[in-house]
Amino acid sequence: MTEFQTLEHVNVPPAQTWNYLHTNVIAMKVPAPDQVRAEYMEQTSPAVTCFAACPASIDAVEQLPEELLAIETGVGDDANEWIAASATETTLVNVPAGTNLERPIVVDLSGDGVAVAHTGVSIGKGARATIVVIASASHKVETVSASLLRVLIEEDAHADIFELVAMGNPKQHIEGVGIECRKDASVNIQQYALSAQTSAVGLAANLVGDRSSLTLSLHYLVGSQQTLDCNHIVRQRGRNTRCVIDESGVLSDKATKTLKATIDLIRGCKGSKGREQETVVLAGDDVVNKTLPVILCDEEEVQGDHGATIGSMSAEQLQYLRNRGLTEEQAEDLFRHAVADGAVIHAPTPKARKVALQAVAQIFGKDIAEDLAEIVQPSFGFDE
Amino acid sequence: MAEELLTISDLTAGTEDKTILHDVNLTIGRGESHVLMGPNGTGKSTLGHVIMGDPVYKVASGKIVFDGEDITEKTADKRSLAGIFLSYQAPVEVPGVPLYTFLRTISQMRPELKMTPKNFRKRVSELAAQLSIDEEFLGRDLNVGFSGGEKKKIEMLQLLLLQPKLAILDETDSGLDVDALSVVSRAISSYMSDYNGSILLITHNTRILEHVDVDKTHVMTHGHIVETGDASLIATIEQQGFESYEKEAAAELADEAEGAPEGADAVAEH
Repeated sequence: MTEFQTLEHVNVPPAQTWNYLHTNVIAMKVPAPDQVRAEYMEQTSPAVTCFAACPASIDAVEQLPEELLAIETGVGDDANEWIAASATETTLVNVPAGTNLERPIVVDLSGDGVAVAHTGVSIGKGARATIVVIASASHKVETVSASLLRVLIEEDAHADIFELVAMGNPKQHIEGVGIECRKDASVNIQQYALSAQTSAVGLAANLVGDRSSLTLSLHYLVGSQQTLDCNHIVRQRGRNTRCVIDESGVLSDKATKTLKATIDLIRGCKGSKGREQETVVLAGDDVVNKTLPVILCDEEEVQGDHGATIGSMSAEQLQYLRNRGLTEEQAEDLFRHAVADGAVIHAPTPKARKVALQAVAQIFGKDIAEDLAEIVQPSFGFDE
Repeated sequence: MAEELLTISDLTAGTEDKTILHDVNLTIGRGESHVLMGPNGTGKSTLGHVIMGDPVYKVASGKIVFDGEDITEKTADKRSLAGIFLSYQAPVEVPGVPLYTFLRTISQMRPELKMTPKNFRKRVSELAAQLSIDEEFLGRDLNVGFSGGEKKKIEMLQLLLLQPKLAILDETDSGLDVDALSVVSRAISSYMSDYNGSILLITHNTRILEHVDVDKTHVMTHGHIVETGDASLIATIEQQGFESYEKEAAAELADEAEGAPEGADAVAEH
C-alpha cells in the first residue's frame, strides 16, 4: 500500500497575498521518499535518464555540492527536501570553462512509473550550454514525477534551458529550477507546460553578477480539469542586470491556473531593469485564472514594469486576426495551437520534438501532429 | 476601365462621436493600382480601415460593394475571406503565436489555397527568400521584437501568400530604409503582375510610387476626396503640395456649415 505525504507549501512567492485567495501555495500529495525509491527499483526500464556529451563531465552523486544546493529554487523548501530525499537520480554535470557544448545536457523523465531527478549543472567561465528537461509519460498511469534543476552560470557564460512538461492527464508533476548568474552571465529559459493533471512549475533566478541577464518565456495550455501552479522569482542583485519575463497561454474547460511572478530589485542593483508581461486567453466559462504579479523594489535607480492582457486578446490583436480572416473563436483556437506548435518549433533535441508532437497528437489529433511534423523541420542538426 | 472590383458610393463614416469620411466615392477596377494621397490626419487610413470593416468605425450612410457583393454590413473576417487585405501601417504584435502557425492558419482558412504541408513549407520558404526574410523569423512570435522594416516585409509575405483580390497598403513605405523599400516595392509589383491584384496605396509621400505603375491618383483632405487624376497628378502634388486642396476643401466646408441647419452635421466640427 502506497504511503503518501502532503507537501503543504510548494511554489511560495516572496511576497504573499491573503490566504483566502488560495494563491500563495499549492499543496501536492506525493509518495513518501522511501516509497519512491522502492517503486523505482521495481521498474523494468529507467524512468530517468541524464545525458551530457563531451567535453562536459557527468557524475551520479549522493548529494550536490553546497554551492549548488545553496541556490534558491522556485518550488520552495518543502519540495526541495522531498525531491532531494526521493531522487532516483542525482546527477552533477560540469561544463568546463571556455567550452561551447554542442549537444544539450538532457534530463529525461519518461515512462509510466515514478520518476524524480535532482540535477546540478555548473557552467564554467565563458562556456555555453543548452539544458533540456523533458517530463513525459503514458497517459493512463496515475503517478508522480519531479525534476529539480540547479544551475550555476559562471562569469561571462551562457545557458539555454528548455523545459517541456507533457505528462498526460492522470499524472502530477513538480518542475523546480534554481539559477545563479555571475558577472556578465546570461540565461534564456523556455518553459512549455502542455498537459498534466496537476503541475507545479517553480523557477527562481538570482542575477547576482553585474550585467547578468535573464529572458524567460512560459507557454502553457491547461484544459479539462487540470491545474497549473507557476511561481517565477527573479532577484536582481548585481548592477545593470536585465530581466524579461513573458508568460502566455490558454485556459479552457474547467482548467485552473495560478501564476506568481516576482521581480525583486534588491538594494545595490543600480541601473537594473525588469519587465514581466502576461497574456492569457480564457477559452471557457468555467476556467479559474489567478495572477499575482509583484515588483519588489529597494533601489532607486531601477526600472520595473508589469503588464497583462487577461481574458482575451487585446482589441488590436483581435482586429488584426479578423483582418486575416479569423473569427474570435478561431483566433482563440490559434492561440491554443500556437502553444503546442511553439514547443515543436523550438524543441532542441529529437526526443523533445517527439514528445511535443505526441502532445499535439493527444490534444489536437494525429493528423494535425503529422501536418506539423512535415511543416516544421527540426532546428537541431543531430540524432540522439 | 477594367471590371469593377470595389465600388464605394456616398460613404460617410467615422467613430461614434466624430464623422471622419464625407460622401466618399471611389471605384477600383480589377488589376488597377490606385494611390490615395493627402496630408496627415485627413482620413486616408480611416478609409482603409472602413473598407476592411474595422468595428471602431461606423458607416453612417453609403455603400461598399466588393466583387459584386454589398459588404457594407459584413464583418472583417468575411471581407478578408472575400479577398480584401489590409496591410497595417504599424503591424500588431501577437506574443505566443509563432509566425509559422499564423501563416498556416490563415492560409488554411482559404480553400483555394489548400496545399500539402510539404508544399506549404516550400511556398513559405520561397516567399521568405524573395523578401529577404531569414527563415529563423518563421519560428518567432508574430511581429514580436521585429524592426519596422521586418514587420512590413512580414505583411508583404502575407500578401503574397494569401493572394487577395484587393490590397489596401496603408503607408507601407513608412519607416523603411532604401533596401527594405526596394524589397517591398518588388513584392507589390509581383503581387500585381502575378495575381492580377488591385491595390489602394495610401501614402503621403511619393518615394514608393517610383516603383509602382499608378493608374489613378486621389487626393483626400478633411475626409473628402477632392481630386482624382492619373499618375501625372503625383508630379503636380510633388511640386505644389496639398495646400491648394486644403484651402479649397476648407472653403467648401465653411460654406456647407453655413448652409446647414443648426447641429445637423458633424462636418462642421472640421
